[in-house]
Amino acid sequence: MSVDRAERTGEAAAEPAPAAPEQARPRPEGPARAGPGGSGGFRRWFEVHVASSVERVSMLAFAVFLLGSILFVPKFANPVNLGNMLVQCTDLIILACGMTFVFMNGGIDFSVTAVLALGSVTGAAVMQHGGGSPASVAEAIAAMLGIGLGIGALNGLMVTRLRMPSFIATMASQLIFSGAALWWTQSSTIGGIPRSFLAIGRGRVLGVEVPILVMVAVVAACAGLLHRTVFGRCVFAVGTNHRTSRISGIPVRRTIFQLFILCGGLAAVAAIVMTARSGAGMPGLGKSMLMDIVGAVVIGGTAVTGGKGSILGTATGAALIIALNNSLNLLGIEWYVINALKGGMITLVALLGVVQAKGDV
Amino acid sequence: MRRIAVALLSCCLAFALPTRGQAAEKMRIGVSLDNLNDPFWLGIKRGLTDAAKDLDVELVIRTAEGDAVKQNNQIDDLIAQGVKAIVCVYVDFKSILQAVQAANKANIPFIYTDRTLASTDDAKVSWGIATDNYALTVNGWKWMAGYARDHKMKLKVLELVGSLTDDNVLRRTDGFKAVMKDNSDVMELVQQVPTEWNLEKALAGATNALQAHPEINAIFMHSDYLLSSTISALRQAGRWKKIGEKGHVVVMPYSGNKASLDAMRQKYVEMTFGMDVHKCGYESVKAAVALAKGEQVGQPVADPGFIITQANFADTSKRAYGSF
Repeated sequence: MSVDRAERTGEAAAEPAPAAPEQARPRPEGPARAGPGGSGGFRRWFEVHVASSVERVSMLAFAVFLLGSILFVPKFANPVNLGNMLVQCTDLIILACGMTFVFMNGGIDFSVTAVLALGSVTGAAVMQHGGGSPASVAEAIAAMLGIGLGIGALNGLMVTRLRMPSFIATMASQLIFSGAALWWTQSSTIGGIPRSFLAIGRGRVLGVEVPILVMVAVVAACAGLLHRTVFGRCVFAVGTNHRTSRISGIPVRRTIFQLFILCGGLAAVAAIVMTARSGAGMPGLGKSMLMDIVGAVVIGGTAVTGGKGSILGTATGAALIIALNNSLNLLGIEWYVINALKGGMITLVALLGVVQAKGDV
Repeated sequence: MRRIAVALLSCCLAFALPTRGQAAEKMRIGVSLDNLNDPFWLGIKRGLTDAAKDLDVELVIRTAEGDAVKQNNQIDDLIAQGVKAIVCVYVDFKSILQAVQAANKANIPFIYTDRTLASTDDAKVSWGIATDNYALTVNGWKWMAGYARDHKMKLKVLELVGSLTDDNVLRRTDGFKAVMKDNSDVMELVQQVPTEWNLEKALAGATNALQAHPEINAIFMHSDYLLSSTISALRQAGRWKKIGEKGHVVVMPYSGNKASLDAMRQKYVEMTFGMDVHKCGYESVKAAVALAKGEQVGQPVADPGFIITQANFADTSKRAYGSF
């Protein structure tokens, strides 16, 4: 089924009305057709059930990469190393989950790094001012969440009411709020984080590190939201075609507004976890993460044009990036070569998506 | 099938790179650096690798690219790899304490280099070597105050400050202020510009300051890294002049890279603060190996650095990493 793309601001398109929201969902799997022989049947099954989706190709690539690293990279399979990697995935996965929703609308949110920075220093300042008391910890968490939701709401308003492209709106918020974090702290770090807050980053519950539990909860909640709720169906529909969705009675503006709030809120959750792990409020927190966040979403199979995405795919993309960093570091590869390889991988996956989209036409 | 082949090929590319076998007989020392984007860091790295070669140990070097969270993650990875000691140039002096705690928990000595790090109750640093930035700045500025008196000048100073998460920056500012307090007849701070070690910010800040305050006749930059931006700003203002020429601005680079030495050779710069970065790198690996073997090392070292002037240039410039 072809997917026609209306203008992102929701203005009327000249093209004829395309598919209804239900039919605009990701292409369903077709039945596997048996070939003339066993290998032909397997090949056909593989093409239909795995190769038909960028997300599944990424999962396969991750599985192969993981296996290869375990077999060939010294110390990769060390339980401590694997545990470290899992914890290191948490920030990226939480942030990428939020970004997935925005990408599914064909947009982007540059302000996530500003939420990290401003949230981190605000939370640290609140705790420092409150003497590290349990009440100050609760206030800090509330303040950090408030910042994420507030910036997300501002972005949503700029995109839906002022009809600004998300690229411009979120870049403006990123500059304003990251600048605010630097100005407020004069680029200094804020220490004195109480142990009760640090436990969010380094504590354990039933033997499992708290950041991992937070990550699992976020992934489960986001996957449920996207794939099991009316809101999720609205996200797919709006991301596919604004005009059709509006005609179908879907609240387009409200959905887009909610996407940015969700992204900002999840960035705030990541700020809480990262600040707790770092032990300080940092005005530069996560400043170099944006490319990895976008990379995780793209590798995970979310279409940059909107209308298609998967939380599990995003989590896989994030895990692949972390595993790539880790195993290539273990092999002694220089950081600039690792960056080049990451860029190459993202390009490859984006090309796969383009090839697949052309096959759908 | 084409898509599968491409996906598998991307994975295979990563493994086409030669797999390093473990040098079981060599001790492995972990190194965590802030960055490698400047000859200053390469000078430290050269000291580290020279020591590793002389002591026959293997270095596992990681670069945080200025990201404090990434640095802590990388140090966790180094600990998981079983390195025997960790040498670190930290990105953020508060955030790094988490990594120090992790090293303490794993009984791995933690050594700082270039940037001083104080132990806390629950994060113990084993040893360290860094330039005593306060003493070096005081010595350099005392020399410059004497120079200003001899030439009957009053220095109106623009200070280009680095990142305030870097303890070295705070000590340089403190040293400058201490000398200025005692020499206020020949020194005055006109403007302070924070640069975050960003060349664009340094250029914009210096350009704006020179326009807003044309009386500025001296620029104190916290690192030679900012020299190119400073020269660009002075050229734009028509004030990149040699010593003795009308409109000359006293420029004081910090650390001793090739550009600052060239500027001194060409008589644009009177004095440069010199840092012995090779020594910092070398001695930190030496101490790391000793500590890993359970040997005693002395107290942390605060290296006084050196002042390169036009008078002593021929001899003293050889100690600077810009002449390597």
